[in-house]
Amino acid sequence: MKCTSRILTFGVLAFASPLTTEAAPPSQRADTPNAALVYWQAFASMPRLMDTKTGERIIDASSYQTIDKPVDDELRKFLEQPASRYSLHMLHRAAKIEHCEWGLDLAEDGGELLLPHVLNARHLMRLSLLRARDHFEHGRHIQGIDDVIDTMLLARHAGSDGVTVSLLASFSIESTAGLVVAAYLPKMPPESLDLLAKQLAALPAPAVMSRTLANEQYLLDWFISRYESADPTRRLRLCRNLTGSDEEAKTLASADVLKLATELRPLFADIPHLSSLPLDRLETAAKTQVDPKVRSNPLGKVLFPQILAARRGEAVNQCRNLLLVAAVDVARRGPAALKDHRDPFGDGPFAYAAYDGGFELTSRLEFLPHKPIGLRAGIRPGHLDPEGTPGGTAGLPSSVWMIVIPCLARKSVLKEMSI
Amino acid sequence: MNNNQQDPSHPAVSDELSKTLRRSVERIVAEPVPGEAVRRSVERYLEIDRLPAQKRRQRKWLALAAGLAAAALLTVCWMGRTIDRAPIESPVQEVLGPPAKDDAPDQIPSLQACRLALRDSPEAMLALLDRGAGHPLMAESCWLTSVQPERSGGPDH
Repeated sequence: MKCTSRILTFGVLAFASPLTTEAAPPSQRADTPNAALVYWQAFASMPRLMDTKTGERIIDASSYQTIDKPVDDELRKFLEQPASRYSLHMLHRAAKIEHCEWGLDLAEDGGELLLPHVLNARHLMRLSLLRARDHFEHGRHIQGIDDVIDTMLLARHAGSDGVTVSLLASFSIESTAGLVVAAYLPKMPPESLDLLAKQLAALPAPAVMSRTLANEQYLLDWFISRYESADPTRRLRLCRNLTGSDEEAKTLASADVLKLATELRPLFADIPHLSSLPLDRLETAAKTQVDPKVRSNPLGKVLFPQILAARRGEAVNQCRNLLLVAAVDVARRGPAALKDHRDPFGDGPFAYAAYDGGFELTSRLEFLPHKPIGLRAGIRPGHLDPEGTPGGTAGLPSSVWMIVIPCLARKSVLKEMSI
Repeated sequence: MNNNQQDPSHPAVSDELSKTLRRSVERIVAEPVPGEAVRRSVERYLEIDRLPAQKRRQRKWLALAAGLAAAALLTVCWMGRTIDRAPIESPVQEVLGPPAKDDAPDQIPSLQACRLALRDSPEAMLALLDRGAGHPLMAESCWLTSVQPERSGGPDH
């Protein structure tokens, strides 16, 4: 009987083994470390920020409103608790891993996909940048730089999942990290500045927005397949999930949804081409070709991606990164270093303005008059002098400022862009 | 205590019976056993030993065949199910939709909810991601374009 059992077991395994292999190749598991798995350990061990008063303070701690206030004992105690330390330990471990696979399936889950890793990445960023601030304030610049750089790596990993929303959210993480480290640049010793410059240069390239946007095509296919196989109740629910309101869902469901979806196919098929256009041409194409078709289709209004906003977000992120690199170089070598940092959105270098305890750099990239993208290096105690800030950032209550980019872009500047 | 002691009135009968029995037994013992009978007995014994082994082998083959058939059947069923199955309804579809304003703070917004929020403004999208905290980083809130600047209401607008 033993022999029979063995043969039977072998037979069953022989049938089952292809499934196992297909699900997760053992060789891939063994040979390819996945940063996402380590990040999830960091997320799981991270103390909650939401429900505690201290947590809410931490959420605010890296904002430009509070960055001029030193990290106090209450915040430091939060950082020193084992859960925080372990979480940040895992962040550093994950940041060393190149490959990051979050295991999302946009084609299968479509619009119902959840992005818990993005939410958690934003919380982990807050914890990490708070500790970076504590390090900088106590002269531990190397450790502070490690926290900042690994937060930027976290952003790039989080934005590599092929989802436009994740990539946009990752830009915000990255820019906040840049904002924090810039605030401490003037007091950083030369060797730390050298290290920071080196590490910034070594960062992997962020995901490309045009490629990420191309994945939006999956959403239309997902919706059509789900809608076709759904009963009326489920169809209404799908429409509700798509529109965000019961009334709009009923209106949409009463139409020939599949016909509307089919009409959108050529437009979705054109996403890769549209999203790879230079920004000024994209704006023209959006206005003349895309928007009329999208607005005339009730389904298109809620399903077609915000290509222009996404590409603008990418442009701003690029500008911020270049500003940070330039600011580090200015802190190392003085304002003369700017000649090596041309503003890609202007005719010359970034604009430089010094103040007591720091300096500000400004790009020509602006989307509204007097609203350029800028970066302040240094902390300016107290409220910002409205007249003292280039670009008219009147009323900003803090020392670090990042300029808004409203959607109504100035054509003159857009034309200068080569992205 | 023997029968003689129990029935001392019949010693002659008892002696006669003993003699007769002894003779019979001696005759039987003295009679040679036929070789054919011995061979038959041995073969019978071996046959008895062989029969269960054959049955066991038959059972093994039957079990193996049945097992393989079951495995094949399971595989066919599984493959058919994979190919033909209807799209799986998300078990959490009720919570995946674009959230109402009074939704629980810990609810994770769906991708479509984030996309809809992005239609309003990037700040709205980030706020949705941070829902519950109510404190999207102000620095971040300025990081991107605002489709409707007047909605954001931040100092930069």
